[in-house]
Amino acid sequence: MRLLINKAQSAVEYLVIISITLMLLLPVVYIFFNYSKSTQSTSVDAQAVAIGNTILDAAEKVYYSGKDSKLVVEVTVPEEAYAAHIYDNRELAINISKDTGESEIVFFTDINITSSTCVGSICILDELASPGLKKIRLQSISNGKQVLITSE
Amino acid sequence: MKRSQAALEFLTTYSWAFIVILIAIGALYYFGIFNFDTFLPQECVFSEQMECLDFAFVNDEIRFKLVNNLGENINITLIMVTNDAANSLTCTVPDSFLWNAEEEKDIVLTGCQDGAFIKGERAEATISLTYYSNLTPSKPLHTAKGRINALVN
Repeated sequence: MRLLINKAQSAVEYLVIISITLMLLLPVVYIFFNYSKSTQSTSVDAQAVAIGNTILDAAEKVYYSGKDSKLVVEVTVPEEAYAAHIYDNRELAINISKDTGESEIVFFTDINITSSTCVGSICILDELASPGLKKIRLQSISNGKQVLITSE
Repeated sequence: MKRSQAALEFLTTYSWAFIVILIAIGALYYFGIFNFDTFLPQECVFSEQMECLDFAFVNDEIRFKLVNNLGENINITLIMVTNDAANSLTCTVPDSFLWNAEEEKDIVLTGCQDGAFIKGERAEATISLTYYSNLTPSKPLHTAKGRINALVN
């Protein structure tokens, strides 16, 4: 009988220890999950801002270097980026999908930028619509009055 | 007789232990120890192009201060607010306004209701700003989204 009680006691103690461990683990997992959600959102924004700044800085260098100048930059497009457009040759907009929904990171420039696929005042930048490392070519065209943004 | 007494003693001892543990857990729950949201920081997350400088949920208002880091004067045409609650959050939003580059703007959404926006509780609001630049001829509309997670004071 003593042996039986000892076995039952061990089993109950084992269960209690496991329960307490799980009770401690669950809130930690919950708090970590929430932190990670917030950090991911900020990180995607920062990546998109870095891409836009890299491209426009390079485009301005090419524009002010004048006719026939060319530059290739490398950017890493995050998975959350799903489209990019140039509006009226002066706005570069990168569309990203976040936990809060679809959002745009927009850059404005005084130089004239374009891409190879334009419909009216909207140009599509397919190069930035899929994730991964991309080589972007910036080339001075129209006698140095415009910068063409394409993939290398 | 001896066996049944031992079994009864075993059950009695552990029953008391379990009852004490349950009461302790109940007391901790009552005092909000298991409301893990309180351990999370209050946050206001927008992109760095519209950096959030300050924020608060006060009574039925959502107040936040953003700075225009776009490097361009823009017109805010629409502000929308929502959240993930079953009856999502609704507020009265300000009219459209001009927002100059580098300018800090205090935005106040009033009459907020539903969406678990309850005084003393933690609430979340997803805010969407629609804007365009005056200098762009076709004035394309863009959307910037952010999230505020804070305690309603």
